[in-house]
Amino acid sequence: MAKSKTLALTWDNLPEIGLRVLTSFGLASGVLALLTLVTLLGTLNQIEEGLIDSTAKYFESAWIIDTIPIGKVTIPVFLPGGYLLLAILFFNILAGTIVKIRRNWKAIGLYVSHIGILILIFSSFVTRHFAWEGNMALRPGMQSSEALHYRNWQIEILPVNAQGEASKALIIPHGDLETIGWKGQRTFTSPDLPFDVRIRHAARNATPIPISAPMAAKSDTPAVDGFKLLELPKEKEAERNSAGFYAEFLPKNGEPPIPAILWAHLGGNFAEVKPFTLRTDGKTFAVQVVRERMAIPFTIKLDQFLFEKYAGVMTAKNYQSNITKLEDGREEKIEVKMNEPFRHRGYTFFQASFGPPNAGPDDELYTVFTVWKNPSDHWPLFSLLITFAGLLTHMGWKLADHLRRSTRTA
Amino acid sequence: MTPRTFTLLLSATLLISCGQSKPVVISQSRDLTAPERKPILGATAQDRFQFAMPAPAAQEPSPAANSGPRLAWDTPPGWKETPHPMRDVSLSFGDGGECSVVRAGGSLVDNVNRWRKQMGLEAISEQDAASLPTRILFGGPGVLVELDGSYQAMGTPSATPGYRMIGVILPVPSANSAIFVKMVGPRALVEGNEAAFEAFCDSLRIVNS
Repeated sequence: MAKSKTLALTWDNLPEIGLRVLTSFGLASGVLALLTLVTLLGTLNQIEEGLIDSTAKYFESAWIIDTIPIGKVTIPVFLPGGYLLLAILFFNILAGTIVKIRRNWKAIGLYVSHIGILILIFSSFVTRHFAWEGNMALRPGMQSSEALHYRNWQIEILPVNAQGEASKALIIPHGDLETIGWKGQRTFTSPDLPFDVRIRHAARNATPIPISAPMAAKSDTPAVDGFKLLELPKEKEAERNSAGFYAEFLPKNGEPPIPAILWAHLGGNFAEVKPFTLRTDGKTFAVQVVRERMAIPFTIKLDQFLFEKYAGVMTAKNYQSNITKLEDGREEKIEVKMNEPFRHRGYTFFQASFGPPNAGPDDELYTVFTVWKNPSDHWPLFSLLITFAGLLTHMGWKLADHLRRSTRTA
Repeated sequence: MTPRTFTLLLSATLLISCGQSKPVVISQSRDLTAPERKPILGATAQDRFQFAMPAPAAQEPSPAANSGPRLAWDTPPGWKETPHPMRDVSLSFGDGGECSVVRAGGSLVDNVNRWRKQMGLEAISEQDAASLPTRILFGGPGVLVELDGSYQAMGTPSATPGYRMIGVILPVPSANSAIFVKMVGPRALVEGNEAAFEAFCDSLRIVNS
């Protein structure tokens, strides 16, 4: 291999120096070493902060700013995050593939294997930005076309008519709520509402607490109807968090603000939602905190839930859901089992669990599916197959070359 | 306008605009499903927050937070306090282990069966509950409950297999309630902390501050 000439660090040479750095094996090695370190630290961090928070902090971030307690010493950590490292690796491999690999038929295997790796990295970006995970609970006979997010909450405002009925919900989405924080505030407005909504305290995990309870002294929210809102440490299992908000509704007609504590309780599947009732300007609104929803472009109906348990206990030995998929007037019978998910149009339904939690022998059981939507669901498999094919081709060329040279030598 | 004036004006504008975040327009909506079209109206705060209502013990002046008699304990090494509004004492250890002290009502068999259901086990009879082994707690005969199964904490969507629960229930007939000390977590973790749990139970006491 020809040794590349050394370039002086001048403005004229900067583009070439930049390209050399970007395509260098040194950069790739450094990034891979850092990825190893980040993976180790992120995995260890799960002990303290759980899977979801650790994933966000170490693997989905551009930078990691954290501290690691080791005994009585706290070590500050400042590292590039997994997202940034993978982005650098992606462009490193892309540029290296274009610039460094020789352009002839013998290099086709290298091209293909590099493309496979690029697809693998790109699929992680697609998953990060477009994947969605939630659940769908169904009793026998029930049908649904939506799934509920495991961890994300949203505030919904339902205009209610004189008959006490509502037809639509205005949504303050999770993305706008999660960045407010306990000390921040944000105001939301809509031409369809006679009031604005100001969120003054927002917590991913919180509980309303009666002002008579000693722990209420720890809350810095004003009291509303005998309750304050207390921010709680985040649960390690993120789906056990109950979001809470201290809100003020600001009537546009100049009436005084109406305070409210809005809270998402973990009442479980089919829990009755009891919204905050807001009456202003002669109109009634129901305001509720519910899980983020994902509409599914077809309908799932539970025909039958089959459950087999171990003798003497309620622990499941095997369970499955017999469902009907309803789409465009057509029906299709499907069985969803513990390790046999149902996939359709980019949605995957896993048989996740069942309920109710403390079911007796005569209780009707319901099924719970984990619903996963990921446009890049199968890309890792494809990328590995492509990479494998590329390496196989390259090794084949090398083997053929070797055999040819051996034959000539002989 | 001099450059200096321009810079000052620009800085002032930026400062003012930083302090005035514009309202965010609500742009998303959804059509409600049939069961959602009749929302429950007029629910009181007590109705809405029933799942958050602390146990009676937490609504009374807490022994742990006031002068006079209060609950005291020794936190085992490696365990840490994780305050919980519904518990008198809340501790955690390892990855997923927790221990709590609470007070609540209910009969012995109901409470034992409540724990059994949390572990995915079938209910036992009142006679079986009465024959459970005992363990001294606060100087009185508590009922010792040891369960292995799939644990489902309140509010969680599914049970986790391979869990172990050890609890002591001390009925307090004069107060028509009971004291519950419970340790739960992955089986190996709980088994490794049984000695710590014993020490914790032994350390529970009422002191005057």
